[in-house]
Amino acid sequence: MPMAPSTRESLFAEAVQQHMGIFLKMTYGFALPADRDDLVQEMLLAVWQALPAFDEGRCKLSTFIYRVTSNRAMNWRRSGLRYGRRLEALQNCPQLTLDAGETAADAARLDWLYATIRLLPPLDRSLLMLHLDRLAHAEIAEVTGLTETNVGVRLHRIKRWLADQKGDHDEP
Amino acid sequence: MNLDDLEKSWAAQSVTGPAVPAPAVAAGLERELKSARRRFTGMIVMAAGLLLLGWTMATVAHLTGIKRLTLLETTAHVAGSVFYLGWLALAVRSKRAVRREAATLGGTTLDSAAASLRVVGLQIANYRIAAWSLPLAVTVAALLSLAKFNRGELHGWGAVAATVFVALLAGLAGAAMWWRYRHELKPRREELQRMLGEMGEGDSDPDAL
Repeated sequence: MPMAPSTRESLFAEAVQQHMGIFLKMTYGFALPADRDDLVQEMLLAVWQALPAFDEGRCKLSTFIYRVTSNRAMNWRRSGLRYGRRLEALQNCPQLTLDAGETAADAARLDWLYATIRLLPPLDRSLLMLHLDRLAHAEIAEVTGLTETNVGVRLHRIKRWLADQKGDHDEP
Repeated sequence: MNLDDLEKSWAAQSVTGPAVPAPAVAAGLERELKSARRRFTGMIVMAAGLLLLGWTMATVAHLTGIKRLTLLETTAHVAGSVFYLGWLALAVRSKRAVRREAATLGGTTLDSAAASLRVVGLQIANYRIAAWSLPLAVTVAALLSLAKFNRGELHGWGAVAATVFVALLAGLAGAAMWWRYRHELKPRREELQRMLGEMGEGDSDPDAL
């Protein structure tokens, strides 16, 4: 049965009001600062387009948002023309940013972390960010379609790689 | 810096900025989608209109005696229309597949990547059909021009010019398709195939990856 327009609108409102952090974290992990507005807008459009297929009985809204934003980020390509049109269409959308926390050390760590995440292959970027958002392996498997074992194996490898990067970074 | 510190800093992030006016943003997105659908319909209507205009002009020219529609002339028009409609159908099929792809974004990464790969595969197949039809179109144009020249319906230079014109158009279309295939579709297909291949790995040994 097709989703009622009011249901779609209320789910969209819930998505942007309660889960905007997911949009922004995925954006920071996939796009450089100059392109972030473009990607956030592409993600908003993707969520709006995909919502009619959302089934509350099959997964949580947050899982659905993780899926759409990471899928969109993975197949996103910068397009100046499209971006210009979106800006016009989304002129009511305010500029949102991620506050890095209370200390300068938090900000420095996050700058380094996002820059390092962007060095990873697309799928691994998503996996690491889902892990950092404290999703269980079963939930990550639900987002990606990988088996739980595969998620565990990949995260083990990614964390080892991250530790190597940190080692390089910590050296004077 | 250790992993725990990174995880703590990650958890400390918060969204800053004014509340998102969801109804206004949704309305803006819906407007953009409707506008994209209108642009797509507009392009189809314009393409169909051009075809109709060609036939109307040829018919009017025939009826007013400006230029008679001979058997060869009619054959040339029909052949041109067949190629034109064929390419238009391929373009519409590709565009529709890209639009359907948006609906798969709510699926798992695996499903979404597989759907994207199918779309890229369809686009490449369409380009291949179109690319093979280009030399055929030039050959048909050259043969029809030659036949018109032999029947005295076209000057020698006119026949050459008509063939060169079609060949130039075909060359431009072919170059555009080749460029998009090499710089967009082929790398995208390889990236998706690599990603899907990697997703099937890693169910056992962590060091095997």
